[in-house]
Amino acid sequence: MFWFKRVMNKINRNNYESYFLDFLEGNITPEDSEQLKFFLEANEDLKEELYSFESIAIKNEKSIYPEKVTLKKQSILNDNTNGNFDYLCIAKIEGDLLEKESKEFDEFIRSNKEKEIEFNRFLLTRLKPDDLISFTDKKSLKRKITPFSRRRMLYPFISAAASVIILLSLYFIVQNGQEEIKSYQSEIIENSHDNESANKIPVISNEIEKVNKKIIKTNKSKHNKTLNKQIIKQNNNHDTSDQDIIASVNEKEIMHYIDPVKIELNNNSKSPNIVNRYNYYVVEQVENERNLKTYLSNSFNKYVLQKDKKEKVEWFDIAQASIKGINKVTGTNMALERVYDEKGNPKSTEFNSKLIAFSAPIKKD
Amino acid sequence: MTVEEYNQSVDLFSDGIYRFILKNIKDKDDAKDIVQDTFEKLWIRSSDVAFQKAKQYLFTTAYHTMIDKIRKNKRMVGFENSYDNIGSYSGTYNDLSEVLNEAINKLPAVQKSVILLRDYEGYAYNEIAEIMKLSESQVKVYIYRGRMALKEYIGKIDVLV
Repeated sequence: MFWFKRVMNKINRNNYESYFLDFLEGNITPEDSEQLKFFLEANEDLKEELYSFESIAIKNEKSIYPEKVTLKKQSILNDNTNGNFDYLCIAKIEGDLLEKESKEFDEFIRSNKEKEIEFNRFLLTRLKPDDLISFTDKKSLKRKITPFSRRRMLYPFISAAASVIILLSLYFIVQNGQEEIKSYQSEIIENSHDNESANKIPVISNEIEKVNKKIIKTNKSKHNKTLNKQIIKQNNNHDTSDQDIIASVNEKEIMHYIDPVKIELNNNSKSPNIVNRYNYYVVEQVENERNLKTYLSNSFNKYVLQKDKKEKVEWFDIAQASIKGINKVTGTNMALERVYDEKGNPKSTEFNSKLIAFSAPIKKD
Repeated sequence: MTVEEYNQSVDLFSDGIYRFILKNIKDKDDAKDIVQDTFEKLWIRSSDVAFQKAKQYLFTTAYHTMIDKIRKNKRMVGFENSYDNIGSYSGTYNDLSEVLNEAINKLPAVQKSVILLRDYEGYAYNEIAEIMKLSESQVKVYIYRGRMALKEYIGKIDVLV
């Protein structure tokens, strides 16, 4: 039987903690206690664990809170010295006393004439608004109610709409402007081939064409004008006897597109490298401009678009980023998207908002 | 806040603000300017301020505009925490409110403001604390000190009147 009990012990190494706890807390049944005894005999190492538990058991101590008196509520008038009474008077007129306290206070001053007089003095300190003082110019403060008076509420939306219109306009204008410049530059080159003077100086004409091509590469309208001027000014610095040569450029066309500048090119220059020199100048300008542009586009890609910094930044990217920014600020949900054809070429630009939606085709080069 | 609500705020609160400021700075023109500035600020922020919060906003704005103006003009001496013994009334009593006005003008400005907000507008401690950017307990302390000073100033008025 003893052997049977030992074998059939329900306490094992996986659940002994529960029995230990019952044992320590005095909740163990006699049957379990006996089984625990068998278990501990069979597992000597756990005996120590049980005793160690026993030693860290927290004994109930008789703790006393020393400030009990301060917690106890006494009558508010127990200490009716001047300091406390002043405080009670102010608390009474400020409405800070509890109902019970207020009643007690009222009873107290009713039974004490001197204190009642003092309390009445406190009552006199309450100020009453002087109704004679009023702001007479209310009319100047008021706003007229007109059909447009609610426009203030619409300011955020109006600003958002205006920003979008400006951005989109800028995007389309710049795109068209670039195409106009391209076609204009092509015309110049074509004209230079047709011109008789160009036949006389084929080498210079070709160089001009090269320069023009380089200028076209930069292809930003403002810079183009400046660049053309600079080229011409640079050229003017050479021998003035070499006039009448720049026949390769159609002057009327230039007048149409750029600011009037006297166009001269030295054909009979004694220096054989004159064209090369101004070629060098132009290339340097273009390179400088590229460096700045590259830096700006890299930064824009990296920080705003979070794209590969080598990718080209287009006006579309700027417009799209700006619209996202406006959405963030105003809480609107506008979208500027590009639609691509099967070949992956951009087909059109689409704009969607609550108020307006449109699609504009993208012109191919 | 709609335009109607804004105009309603003018009707409801402009007198109170004017009175509060005038009591503090004793200059009608400056007080009018502050009221104008305060309502201008409310109009600018009318889309953000709810009508229910307009009074609180107006008093807070007016109070701080006043402080800025006073500091600019360097008229305020010992505004923040000073507590001076304002003495007691020595003249003859004709009108209690006159005496009280005199007494309140002798209080340190911060005590004067808390008592005016409390008595004129019936603001709670926490509301005064919010308007004046103080803690609630600071407000209580200033009210207590202010009342004590007023009571001392009035002296034995109850015997004489």
